[in-house]
Amino acid sequence: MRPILLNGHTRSLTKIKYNREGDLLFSVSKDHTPTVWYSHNGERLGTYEGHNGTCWDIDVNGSTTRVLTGSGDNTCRLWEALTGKELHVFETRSAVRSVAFAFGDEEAIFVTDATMGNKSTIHFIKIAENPQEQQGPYKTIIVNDGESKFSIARWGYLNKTIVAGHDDGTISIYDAETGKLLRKAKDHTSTIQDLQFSTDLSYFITASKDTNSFIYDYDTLKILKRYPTERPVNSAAISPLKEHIILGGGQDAMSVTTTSVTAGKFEVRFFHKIFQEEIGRVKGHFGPINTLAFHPSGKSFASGGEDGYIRIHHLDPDYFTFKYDEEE
Amino acid sequence: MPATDKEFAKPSWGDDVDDFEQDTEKDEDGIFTVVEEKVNEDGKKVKVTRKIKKKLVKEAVSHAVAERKKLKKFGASKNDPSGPQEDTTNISEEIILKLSSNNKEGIKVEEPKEKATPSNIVCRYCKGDHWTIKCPYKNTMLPERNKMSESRESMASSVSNEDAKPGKYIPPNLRNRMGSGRGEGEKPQYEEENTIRITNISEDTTDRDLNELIRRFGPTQRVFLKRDKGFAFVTFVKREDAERALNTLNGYGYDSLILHVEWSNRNRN
Repeated sequence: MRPILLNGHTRSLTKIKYNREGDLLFSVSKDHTPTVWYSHNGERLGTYEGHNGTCWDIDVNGSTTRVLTGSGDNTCRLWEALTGKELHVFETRSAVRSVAFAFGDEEAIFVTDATMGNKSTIHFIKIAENPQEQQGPYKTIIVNDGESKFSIARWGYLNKTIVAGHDDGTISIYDAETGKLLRKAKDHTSTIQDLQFSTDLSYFITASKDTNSFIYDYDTLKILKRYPTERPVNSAAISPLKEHIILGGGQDAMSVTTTSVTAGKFEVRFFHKIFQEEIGRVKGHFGPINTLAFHPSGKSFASGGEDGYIRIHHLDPDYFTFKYDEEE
Repeated sequence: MPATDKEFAKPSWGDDVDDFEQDTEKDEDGIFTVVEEKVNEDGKKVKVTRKIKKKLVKEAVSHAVAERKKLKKFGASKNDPSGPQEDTTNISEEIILKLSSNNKEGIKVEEPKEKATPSNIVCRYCKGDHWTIKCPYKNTMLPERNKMSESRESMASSVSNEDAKPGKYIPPNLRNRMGSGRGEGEKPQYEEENTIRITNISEDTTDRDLNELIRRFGPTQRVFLKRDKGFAFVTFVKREDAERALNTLNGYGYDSLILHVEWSNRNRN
C-alpha cells in the first residue's frame, strides 16, 4: 500500500478521529489549528481557527455537524463542523485534556487538568440547538482527594456512565447521572494515554505509558487481553472488521533525537486481538506515534505522529484474506 | 454553469506544452500510451514513453457522505481548488504490511543492525572479534593456513591421518573435520552430512512454505531459512532423505524462481 501523507500540521499530532461514516478525518496537534480532511484521498477540507494553545483532543458528533476541541489555552471550543465557524467558547481555569460527545449529540463532556490549584474535573455540557443559547457546564465530577488527575474520559453505552483514565493508570467508571464512582481498577502503572471502545461498547482498549495495552471488560473492569510491548504505548485501536488491534507509540518524545528510527520502535504494530501475538508492523513515522484511529469500515486506518504527519493507510486486499494459523 | 466554446478553446497556461510534441494513444485495453519529448538536465532531448491505465472505481456511499463531498473548503484551505493540494497532501513511498502468524517477525527486523556490532564479527584466522584484515596474527598465521588447506586436499584424496601429529596447531574450523574424516563409517558429531543448502529461494517464502516443501522427503532436524538472502539449510534425519530432496528439488521451479540445491558447504568435499 502507499499511505497518504498529510502534512498540514506544523507540530506533533495529539489526536485524530474519524466521523461516524468515516469520510472525514479530524485532527488536532500542538500547532493550535484543528483540521479536517477527506479520508479517502487526504484532501484538506478546512481548519478551525481560533485556539491560542496546544490542542489536546477533538471530537465530532454523530451527525457531523458539531466539533468540540480542548486546548491548553484554557478553553474548550464548539465549532460548526463543515464551515469552521466558532460557535461557542467554554472558558476554563486550566488546560482541557479530553473532550467527548455523548451518543445522541445532546450532551458532551470535557476534562480539565489539575494545575494552578484547580482539581482535575469532568465538565458536563448540554449542546444547544441554537448556538446563541449555548450554556456553560451544568454539572461536574471532581477527582477525589488523593486520586491522580484525569487524562482521558469517554462515555459508556447509553450515556449511563463515564469511563475515565487517570494519570497514575487507574481506570474508573462513574455514573453519568449522579457522578458516583461505580467501579475502579488499577492495573496500569502510568498515564492512560488512550482509551478506545469496541464497536459494540462492551469492552475497550487502553494504551499506557507503562508500555502495556489492555483490553478491559466494561461491565466488570477485568482485563480480558494483554499486549505488552517494550516502549510507551500512546495509542491503541480495535479493528471494527477483523480480530486485530493496532498499537502505536515508541520511545519518549524527549529522547527521540538520540535514537535511530529502527531502535525507537516507531512502527504501528498489528496484534491478533484474541491470541495476543504480534502479526505485523507498518513503518513510516520518524518519531513516536501519538494517535491512531481505525476507519469505521475497518478497511483503512490513520496514524498521527510526533513528526507532525498524519498517514492514512488504505489496507491492501491481502490484508483481508489473511488468516492467523489457528483460524484456518 | 454554461461554458461557451471560446472558454474551452483557450487552454490553461498550465496545460501548455510548448515546443515539444505529446502523443496520446489509447489501445483496446484502455491503456493510454503517452509519448513526450523533453529536454533533460544535461540539455539533451529525450523521448519519454509512459503507459497509463485509468481505472474508475465506483463506490456507493450514504447520502450524508455524498453531500459532504460537495462542501466548500474553509479555514486555511479556503482558497484551494478542489482536489488534494500538494502542500498538504502527498503520497508516500510503498509500504509493505506483511502479516504473519509467526510472531518472531518483529524480532527479525532488528537483525541487520545487530550484524554491525563488533560481537558478530569473526576473524577468519584467529576467530577473534575483529575484522580479518586487522588480525594481529595475520602474518604469523598465513603460511600455517596455506599448509593447512594443502593438507586438507591431500586428506580428501586419500584418507590419511599422518599430519594429525600431536602438538600441531589445527584451526578450530578444521578440528571437527579431522575427527570425522578419519573413518568413513563413523557417524559425524553433527548431522552435517545430511544437510542440504537450498539457494535462490524467493523472498516471499515463509518458514511454513519451506516446511511444506521439505516435509514430503522425510523427517528433518533443522530448517533454517534466511529469507532476505534467499537461502536455507535443511538438515534431515536420514542421509537418503536428504539425497532424495537434493535430487528432486534441484532445478525445481518454485514461486517464479528455480531452486538450486547442493550439499551444505561443510561436507561438500
